Amino acid sequence: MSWFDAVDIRKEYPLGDGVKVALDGFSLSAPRGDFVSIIGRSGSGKTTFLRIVAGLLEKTSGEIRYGGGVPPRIGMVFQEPRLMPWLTVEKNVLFAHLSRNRKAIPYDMAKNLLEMLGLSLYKDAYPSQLSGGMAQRVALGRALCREPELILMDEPFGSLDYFTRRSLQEEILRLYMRDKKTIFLVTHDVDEAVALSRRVVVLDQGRVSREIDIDLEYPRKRTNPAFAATVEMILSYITG
Amino acid sequence: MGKDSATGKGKRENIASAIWNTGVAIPLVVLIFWHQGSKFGWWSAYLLPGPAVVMRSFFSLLESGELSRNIVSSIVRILKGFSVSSVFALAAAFVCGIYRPMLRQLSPTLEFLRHIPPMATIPMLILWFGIGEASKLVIIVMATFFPIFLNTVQGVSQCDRGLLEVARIFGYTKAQSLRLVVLPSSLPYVLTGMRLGLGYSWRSLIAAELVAASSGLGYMILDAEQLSRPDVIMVGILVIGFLGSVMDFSLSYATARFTSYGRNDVVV
Repeated sequence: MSWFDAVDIRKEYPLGDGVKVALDGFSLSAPRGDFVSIIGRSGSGKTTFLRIVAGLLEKTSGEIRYGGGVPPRIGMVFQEPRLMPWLTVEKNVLFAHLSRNRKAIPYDMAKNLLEMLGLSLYKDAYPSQLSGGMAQRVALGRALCREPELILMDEPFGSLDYFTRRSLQEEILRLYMRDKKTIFLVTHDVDEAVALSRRVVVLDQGRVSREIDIDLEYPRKRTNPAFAATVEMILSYITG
Repeated sequence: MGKDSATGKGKRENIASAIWNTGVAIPLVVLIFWHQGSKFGWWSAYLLPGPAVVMRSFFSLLESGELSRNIVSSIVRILKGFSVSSVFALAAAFVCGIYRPMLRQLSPTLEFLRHIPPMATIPMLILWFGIGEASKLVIIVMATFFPIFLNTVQGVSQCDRGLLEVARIFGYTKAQSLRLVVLPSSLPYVLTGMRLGLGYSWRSLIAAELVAASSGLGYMILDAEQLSRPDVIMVGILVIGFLGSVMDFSLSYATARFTSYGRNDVVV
């Protein structure tokens, strides 16, 4: 039994008179500190899996088990920043703690996170004043401020331009190297998956069709022939 | 500009552009027309007394304390009725916004009640509550309830599901999500509803005072009618319009101030 085990997950949605099967016998195990990218065409069930782990969706059958017994604290980053428009950047980062006693709000932690993400100057700004990349950084800070044991990312860079995407990818990698938190990243960018994760899981019609270990040294150079070969190989699995 | 304003011509231009930019040009033209018309007797002074006469009555009413007494009694009614109504409307709206079956049960009844102008119920209200404060309070509550209620329900139901999901992942309870996500996200709607409600309640209150009251701006106008004092009626009309716009402006200023969330500032 590993730190995280998803066993034989099935998820059906009602669709017209019938049902649509989003996940069909999906299984995935991960040790603590793993970085798993889940990749596949649209409609392959990637996001459904993540939402089930996050507790936003009920699974139809199957089981999710945690080695520690209790579910871990989860931090999630969505495709859109989903910041509270009425809160400043600092308060948004602290969002996980706002429901607690005023005295228990960890302003120091927020300060460090803002500094680390290069957001210190914008601490008092509102989300409407931020660019897409900045807003997504804040969303990342908010997830980290919960001190999560498991970080879920649902195409977090999908709506960003190429340059911003690259710099955020580096940011995530730096964080991962530092804290070794467990990360599940849903993406449809093979390049991104190979650059970041230890393992790539290819999803096809609701089940895992391939699992590929990426044995390249961090930080990975996209110019490395082995990198390019891995990307090509995974692409061929997806386009089959 | 600094150089221009030093000269007489520049000053005149500045005044002209200030008049144009603030939108006081039309009131100014009306005032001039009104003044000239009265001066040259384009109409009978009894039908419409000139601005100078109205101004004089304004100051004498102010001096005697009659005007301020009536203003205070109208405004106190508004404050009371508006607070009572806000409390009920907000509570009902949040319950309905969150617990949908409740809204389904209530909406035919509310839809029916919404179409009854508060003024239409005046005879019944006088029958039940007399011409005292209670009937005015009911009128104001009736006028304000719906705009506040309907806007708040809309605010609660439009709350972004994505934001609620974030709260859920971060371990918020339902009550915490309500307080820390639904409530702030519906604030702009609530304030818009209050602003509409305030306008309605001001108009219906004055109307109610015109029918049955012993104080208030509406009463002042009714009293002046019986004493054949068109100048006092004009004072009443102008003060009502002025106070109404001041109240509306304050609420819309507050709305902009508290719910802009940096939208008017620079994007970084």
